[in-house]
Amino acid sequence: MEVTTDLSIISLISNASVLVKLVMALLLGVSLVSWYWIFRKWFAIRNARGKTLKFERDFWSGGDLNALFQSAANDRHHSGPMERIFESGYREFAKLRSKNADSNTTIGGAQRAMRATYQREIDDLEAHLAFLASVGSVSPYVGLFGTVWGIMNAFRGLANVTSATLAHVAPGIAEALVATAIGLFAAIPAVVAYNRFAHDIDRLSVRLESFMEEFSNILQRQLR
Amino acid sequence: MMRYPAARESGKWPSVLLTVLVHGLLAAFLFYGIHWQARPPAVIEVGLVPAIPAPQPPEPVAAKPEPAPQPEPQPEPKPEPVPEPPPPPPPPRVKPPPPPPPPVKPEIAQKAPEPEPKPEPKPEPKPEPKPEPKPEPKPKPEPKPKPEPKPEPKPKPEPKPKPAPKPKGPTPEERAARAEQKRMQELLAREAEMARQQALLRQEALRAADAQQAALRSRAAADYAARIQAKVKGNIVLPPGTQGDPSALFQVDQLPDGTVIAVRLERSSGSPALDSAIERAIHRSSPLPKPTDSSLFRRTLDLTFWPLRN
Repeated sequence: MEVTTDLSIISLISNASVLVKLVMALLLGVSLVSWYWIFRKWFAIRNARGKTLKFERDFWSGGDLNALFQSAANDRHHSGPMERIFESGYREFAKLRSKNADSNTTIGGAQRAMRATYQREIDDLEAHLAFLASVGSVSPYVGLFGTVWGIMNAFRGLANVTSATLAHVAPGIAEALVATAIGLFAAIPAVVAYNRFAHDIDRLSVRLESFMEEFSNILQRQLR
Repeated sequence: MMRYPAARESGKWPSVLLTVLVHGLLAAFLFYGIHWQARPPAVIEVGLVPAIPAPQPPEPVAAKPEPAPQPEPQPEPKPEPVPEPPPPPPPPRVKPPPPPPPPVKPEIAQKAPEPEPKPEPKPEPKPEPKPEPKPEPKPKPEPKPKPEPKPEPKPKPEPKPKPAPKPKGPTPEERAARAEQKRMQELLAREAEMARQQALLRQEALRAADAQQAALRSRAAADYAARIQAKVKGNIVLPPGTQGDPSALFQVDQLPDGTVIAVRLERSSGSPALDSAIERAIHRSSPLPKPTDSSLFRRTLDLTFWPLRN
């Protein structure tokens, strides 16, 4: 009756079967990548939202559109998505107006340019969110697979023992459960982050779309 | 398009750093968390180990008494043949003849059983000692009062050990023959003595070698008895109102696989309810644990139980 089996996490992992180890390694890799993207997306969305707020303030404070365009065009590396939408729309508007196109064409061209930039911006923000979603939904199952496999092995070992005690299965089950733990550790933050980021991007896209509409109106007024 | 990569680069290294940090924290938590949990079972186990040896002391007492009395009966039968001849003093030469042949064998047999006390003594002593002691008391009283008045009865009891020499002792021719016989027998006796001493020396060496084995065996026997008692004890449902330190001796017949066949109460604990509770517990403990050393297995076990003792 060796109850003193070492149950430290290291021995649990090192005693696991090859397949369970592979599952754990896979899940660890997935967890690392998903956490990397969680932080990247977090920074990116926070940055985009901050810059959007700042630009909205500047825009509605009643400044000159030309001055705003100049600063946006000169400072591309530090501009936010709304600033870039404004820049592309105003650039297209200025070009078409210099060619004396009619008002519908000018506004339509500016709107299409803004829509293209908007879609690029949203796509950029949403990149890798699908990865977080897959990690969140799949990694518990991968961990569960490792656990089931480990428990199968533990019980198969039990079949060879005449007097079965809990002490014979317990280490095997503990080993196997580490796989589920790692899977959950990868999945839970990924799911939380995915929901949070999807919500944040939705709000940001609503803001950008309404800005596009309002800016189209302003441009139309300028044509008269 | 050139602006996007530049904007993305900004969060790259902090993200890598934070990712590593999060996983490092998790690893530390898992390591210390589970390591910390591994300690309590170890402490509990220390408590478990002494619990098993505790029942051992009572059992050696229960198990050893059996073998101890058995070797003793053996020496007794041998002295008995010697006293038998003395009553008919006329043929003193008769004494040597019986001893030399038996002593050589029995003494080796005597000493041989000692190192291997448990397996051998059991089968032999039980049948032998009982039949012999009974005939002894009868011949003893008979020869003393009846030798003079009735010479005939003598031959009757004696014929069993050695009938021929004793009645014919008086005749002179046979005395001469017997003198030679006696010399021969003395020689034989001396040789037997030599052989016995050699056997003793050999036995000494063997015993020294066996001493360790015997110690191991006795420990294994104690462990075996302890395991049986522990198992049975776990099945005893104590009747209400059991007090003091009652003990009961049971004789248990078992099959080689440990299945209990029969349970006999040898010494009651004083409370019939407790006796039957122990008996039920023995039946419920079937199959009994097997000894680690299969030579320790015995069909019949004498087990003493102290149900209130820990």
